[in-house]
Amino acid sequence: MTSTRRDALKLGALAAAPIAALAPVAALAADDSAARLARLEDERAVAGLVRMFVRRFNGDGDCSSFVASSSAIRIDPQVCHIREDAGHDPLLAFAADGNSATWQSRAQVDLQTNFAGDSTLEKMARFQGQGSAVTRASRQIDASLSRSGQGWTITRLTIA
Amino acid sequence: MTERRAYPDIPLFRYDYTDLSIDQVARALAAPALAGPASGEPFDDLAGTTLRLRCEGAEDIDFHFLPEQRVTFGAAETGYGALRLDHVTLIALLVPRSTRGYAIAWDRHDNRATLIELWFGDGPAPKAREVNRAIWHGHADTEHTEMGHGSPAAEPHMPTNRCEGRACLWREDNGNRTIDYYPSAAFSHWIELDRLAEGRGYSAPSDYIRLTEDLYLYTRTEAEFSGLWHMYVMDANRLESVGLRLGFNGADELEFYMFRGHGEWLGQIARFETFGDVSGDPLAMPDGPKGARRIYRPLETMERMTPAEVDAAIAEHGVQVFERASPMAGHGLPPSDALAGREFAIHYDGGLRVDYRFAGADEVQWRADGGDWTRGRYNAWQTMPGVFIFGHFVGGANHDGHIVVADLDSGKATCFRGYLNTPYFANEAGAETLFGKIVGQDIPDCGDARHERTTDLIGRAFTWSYSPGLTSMHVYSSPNTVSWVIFTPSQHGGAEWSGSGDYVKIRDQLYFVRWQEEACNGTLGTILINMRTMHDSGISYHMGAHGLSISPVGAYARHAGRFEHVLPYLSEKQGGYPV
Repeated sequence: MTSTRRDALKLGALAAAPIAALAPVAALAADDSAARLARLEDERAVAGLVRMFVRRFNGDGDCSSFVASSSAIRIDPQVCHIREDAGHDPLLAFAADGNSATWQSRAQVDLQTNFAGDSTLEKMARFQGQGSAVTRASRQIDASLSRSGQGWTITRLTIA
Repeated sequence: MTERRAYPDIPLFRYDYTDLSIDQVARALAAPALAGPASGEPFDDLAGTTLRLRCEGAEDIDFHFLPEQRVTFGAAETGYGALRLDHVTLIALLVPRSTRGYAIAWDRHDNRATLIELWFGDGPAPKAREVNRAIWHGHADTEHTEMGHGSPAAEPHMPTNRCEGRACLWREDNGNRTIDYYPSAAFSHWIELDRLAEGRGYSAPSDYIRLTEDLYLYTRTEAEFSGLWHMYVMDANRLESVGLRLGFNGADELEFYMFRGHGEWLGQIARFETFGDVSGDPLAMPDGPKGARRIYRPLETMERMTPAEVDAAIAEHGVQVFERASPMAGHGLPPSDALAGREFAIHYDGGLRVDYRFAGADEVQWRADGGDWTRGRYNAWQTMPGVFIFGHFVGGANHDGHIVVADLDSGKATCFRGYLNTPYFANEAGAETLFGKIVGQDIPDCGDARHERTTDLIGRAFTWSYSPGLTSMHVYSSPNTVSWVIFTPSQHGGAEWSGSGDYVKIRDQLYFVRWQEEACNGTLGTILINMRTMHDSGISYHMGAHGLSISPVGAYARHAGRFEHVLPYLSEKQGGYPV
């Protein structure tokens, strides 16, 4: 049985370590340029966090260090690779207090179908060494993130 | 024990071939090895020729040909056969006091050569009676050349897919006629027209070697059956061949003869590799032992159950009727709810009458011959307006399932009745075809008219794309055979197998087809092919350790083409065998 990325997500140790330590935007609201700078840094941190999540997903699959809990991630177990779709700009929105954010972006994902059934064609495919097939599809990444004391963490991420 | 016949009068997958020991094989080979192969015509006399075969990966072998069809190599001397096809000579011999032999294709124009080493026993074939082969390409270093001397500048012979998609009828000089389909680059499908009576097709692993633009070397190992090895060099332009047959037939008689064949072109279908890709041998195992390749042996992965085990599995797991999605229907049409609320009866020829009340999109009540009503699950697809295919579990001692095509506009119906507990493996589906009429409100009375068996599809091939990565090609090879090929990642035709089939015409360009995966996976497959939309809807009936399942089948089609000249050789063959 082929393990999936989702299996790895489940199995990984959930450290929920923050990614980037940033000063809260609200605290710097009095200084407009400082607030803008902080917002830019938040944007960069969130984008970097999503990017690192994707990179880790495509690597060893253990994304536990980026997420708040094991239930935070909802990805179809067929997804085996994620590619950011450069043709669509991500949408990032921060809550008024600057302590949480939502992220939306498009991605091209590879979907792996395992031919594990007992139909004759699946058996023949396995005989030929073709135990699975991979197809590519466009999907949307939706993520919610929160700022903890030391940085940003993914509290929910779906690919649908 | 089935009656011993060289060419059985039952399907080859039902014949109990003797598991010959290697000693039995050796004893049978002893005298013929010294004499050389038989032939219907005089052999080419190579006396005075020395062929020093230098093939990559093989040991060098020097053959010194002597008068009176004798040859020496190493310390051995034996008889040989040689037949010439234009500028290629095919040579065959067995090694005395062994279970080994050689076939050599020697191109006398440029001395390129293909050496085929043959042996019984010691694997990779699982049984001693199945011929092993290993193929080496190189050249023959010889003084006797017609066009040159020594190592040729040209590329060696090589595996190819150039034959893929073709079919020929071969008439050998011994009178045997065979239809050879080449729908795969690694398998082939053949129908013996004379030695076997049914006109049934079988599939076997094959080699296709390009010798020249005109000349190709073909082999098939009748694995899973007799284990015989059949090969020839064919001239694709002139449709001539010379060949060799080696192995043991159903009566365990050694066949070791060469032949000359005359071909007839039966047509060709598409192949699906990237344009320009002419590579071959897609199921090779380069790191395997000598002679290894991927040979599909379906019985190795088939569950074989007794009637008691079937009953127990159904009692434990039940019958799953359209309960889950199937990768065999990933590209299928959605089920139709258009039968909901309808009632009708189907009166089958022979007396069976089934009444239906379709209570909903997937709930049906039915009764047979006026008996008690039974409530069950069904799915239906309206593949063409007014024509439905639906299926449901019937039950009974043999766990019947009915897969019905009902044309509500014509009043005709056809049922493929699937059942278990066949005489061979209890979990293997049997099937019979029932023709009938539909009786119901607003349904015309078709009188005595019925759907009819058809040969319209014979020789046609369709690809069926069931789900991403799961595509096969059907070759409707004879009135009683459906063959299927699956593709490799490079879209070479790969493994191929076949089973009993039946073909019924429902309307113009609409056909109801079934096939049984006998001695394979045991499934009864049924599809309603709409050649106008190039889509099908079908139903699979399968029994295994996890119970009986009735599942959807649905795929996108491509018309791969038609072997348009095959039908005259098969039109007298019967279709629709029940088991």
